[in-house]
Amino acid sequence: MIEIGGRPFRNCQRVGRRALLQAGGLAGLGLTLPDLLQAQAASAALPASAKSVVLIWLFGGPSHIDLWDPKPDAPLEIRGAFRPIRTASPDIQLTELLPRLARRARDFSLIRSFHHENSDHNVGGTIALTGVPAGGKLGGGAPLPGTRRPTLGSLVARLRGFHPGQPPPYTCLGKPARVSGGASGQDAAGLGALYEAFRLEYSLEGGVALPPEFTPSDGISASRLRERERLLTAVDRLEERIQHSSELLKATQYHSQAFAMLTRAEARRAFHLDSESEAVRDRYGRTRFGQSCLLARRMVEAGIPFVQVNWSDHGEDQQTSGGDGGWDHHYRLFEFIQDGGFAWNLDQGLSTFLDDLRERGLLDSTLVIVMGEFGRTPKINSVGGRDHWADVYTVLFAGGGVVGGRALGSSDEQGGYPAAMPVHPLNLHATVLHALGLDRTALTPLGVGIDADPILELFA
Amino acid sequence: MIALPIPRKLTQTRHQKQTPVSCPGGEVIYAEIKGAHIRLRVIAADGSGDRLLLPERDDWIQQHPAWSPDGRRLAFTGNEGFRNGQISVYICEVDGLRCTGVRPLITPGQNCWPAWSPDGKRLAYIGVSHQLMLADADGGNRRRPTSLAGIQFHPNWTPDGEWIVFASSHAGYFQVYKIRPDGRELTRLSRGDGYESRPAVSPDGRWVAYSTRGLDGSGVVAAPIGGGEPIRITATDALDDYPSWSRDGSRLHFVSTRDGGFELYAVDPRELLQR
Repeated sequence: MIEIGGRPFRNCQRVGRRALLQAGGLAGLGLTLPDLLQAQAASAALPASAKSVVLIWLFGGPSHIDLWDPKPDAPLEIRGAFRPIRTASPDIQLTELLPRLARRARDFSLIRSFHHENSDHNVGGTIALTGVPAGGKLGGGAPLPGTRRPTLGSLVARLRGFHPGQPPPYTCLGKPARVSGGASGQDAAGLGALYEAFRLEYSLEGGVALPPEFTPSDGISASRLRERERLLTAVDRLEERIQHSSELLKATQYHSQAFAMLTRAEARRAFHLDSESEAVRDRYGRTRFGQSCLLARRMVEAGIPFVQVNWSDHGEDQQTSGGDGGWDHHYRLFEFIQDGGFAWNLDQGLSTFLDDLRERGLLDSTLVIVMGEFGRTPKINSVGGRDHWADVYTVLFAGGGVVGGRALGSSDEQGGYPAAMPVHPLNLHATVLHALGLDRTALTPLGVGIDADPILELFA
Repeated sequence: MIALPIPRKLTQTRHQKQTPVSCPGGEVIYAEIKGAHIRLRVIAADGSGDRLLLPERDDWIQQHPAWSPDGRRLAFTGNEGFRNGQISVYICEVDGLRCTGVRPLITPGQNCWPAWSPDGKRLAYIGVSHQLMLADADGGNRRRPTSLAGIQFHPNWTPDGEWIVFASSHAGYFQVYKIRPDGRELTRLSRGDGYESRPAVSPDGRWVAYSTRGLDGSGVVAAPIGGGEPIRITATDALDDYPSWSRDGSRLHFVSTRDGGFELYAVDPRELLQR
């Protein structure tokens, strides 16, 4: 076991930390065929409990005490205003804001002892998504020293490999989530453009939107139906061009990913939410989050190994600078979080997502992770909110071989620090690769090794 | 046993909505959350004519509309010019749903949820740290009528001005209470063991409608303000929230996710409450 930020995280390997801190240093090696084959060969040798991972990214820092880790015996200024409720699992209590998830508590487990070393949104987010702060940005935009490390989805993409004609291995529903100082920790860094996320966006007004560079723009102003027809026509033409010329070879790597998404019929169908029944769409909730979860299910069905669902574009809520409904509740937390847009929306969308995966026989092969970049302060502040808190927070795991119905690890009696089984985001990254049967040691020669152990208790 | 009345849907936009409030002319004002903004909108009683109430203002947040007793002024929570977490209670003059003279009444901080007293001389509102506050109608003489701990929300006055009804977590978890404006006689009105909040006092002063949530779903209930068993008005395994009364008491407006989106509904509670 070694320490980061004064507290331990679990590591039984002897891979040097220097390699970890040199993340991306061998970036130029990123894209050769031998590397791909080597990574694939290594990964093929390991057993996998999951075919896909869906990371639900609640940027802004959801309050662990007010959602996942209630502290009913703490003083009023810590326990907050929400009652703990029993769930389908005797091991888990949630707050009353999550009644639907409470009924499904046997489908998921919580680790209530996550922690890391920085409570700045962007740095915390960089740690959560890349494992280390190096190369990230502070919330105000100032750069941190060190070499940027790839985001988790890009690591999975690198190990799984990208194959023309196959769906891109890493799809993200939403722009890079940002705070007022910009976004951080959400790119492929030195792995190269091929392993960047293929990003789609959902909005209530526009439905599913492709990245701007793939959206027809030449004078199209008629109905959405005509627009879609035009898109598909354009795609068909593109397919012809790809088949009959060497255009693909000339395309950029990122464009190659997108072409694959657009030209493979089953992959293309993945983002046609119109083919879902109204009842199913209603069940998920007609919200950005609900419909993004439905899109994620379709991405899983299409065989995409890593899907990230971004709750919002910003970490901040509407009351703070630039926010569009992130979980950064410094103010009026107890009003906003119990309002329909937050806990209700999460409870409905996530519950339906888990149900739908289970009903379709996909939950056992899909690891679902729900997390933000940190939790929030145990003590309620003077303006009715809670502030940033990275010393302990909760992450939810479901499916993909995870044994449900358990609370693993624990926070102390005030929800301030880990009391048992402290785990770090690097352990989460190792867990994802473990579940997918990917050999993380294959990353070490690329300078992006993961110097931490998977959380095997989840699967025991 | 009387069957629950069937609600009528008034909107179709699916965007999240809050705090419907009936206007003197029968229209309904509500707050809509759309991306980075929460803006006040207005619809006719039948749901038609949906439009921004204050199209010329660029507040990031407009919430919690509250009519003055004479129907000539509207108070609301806004934050024009602030994007640093600060909000303020604003008021404006209203003529034919045209708002003029918008100005802050209670200076920026964390002041929200205004509610006029029936004589128009005072405002109850929620101040910093979610505490119940009172101010004179000009925004002066601010004071805390009670030193309750916990979080307070959504103050309402009874029509006789004798009580302020509000939600509070002071006893541990959210329930609906009434209290005298001078802080005496705190009395619990809700009876459930779930999450009970968003109280709205009926125009005749006999009932308080509020939303209740529990493991089995949610709904709107109405409890006698004088005390007694609550009566269920709506029930859903989705979310029914933010009840408010029409001015003649013939309808309860509320926000519901029962059809997937967040829409406004109206329901006639009178048959259930006739006893």
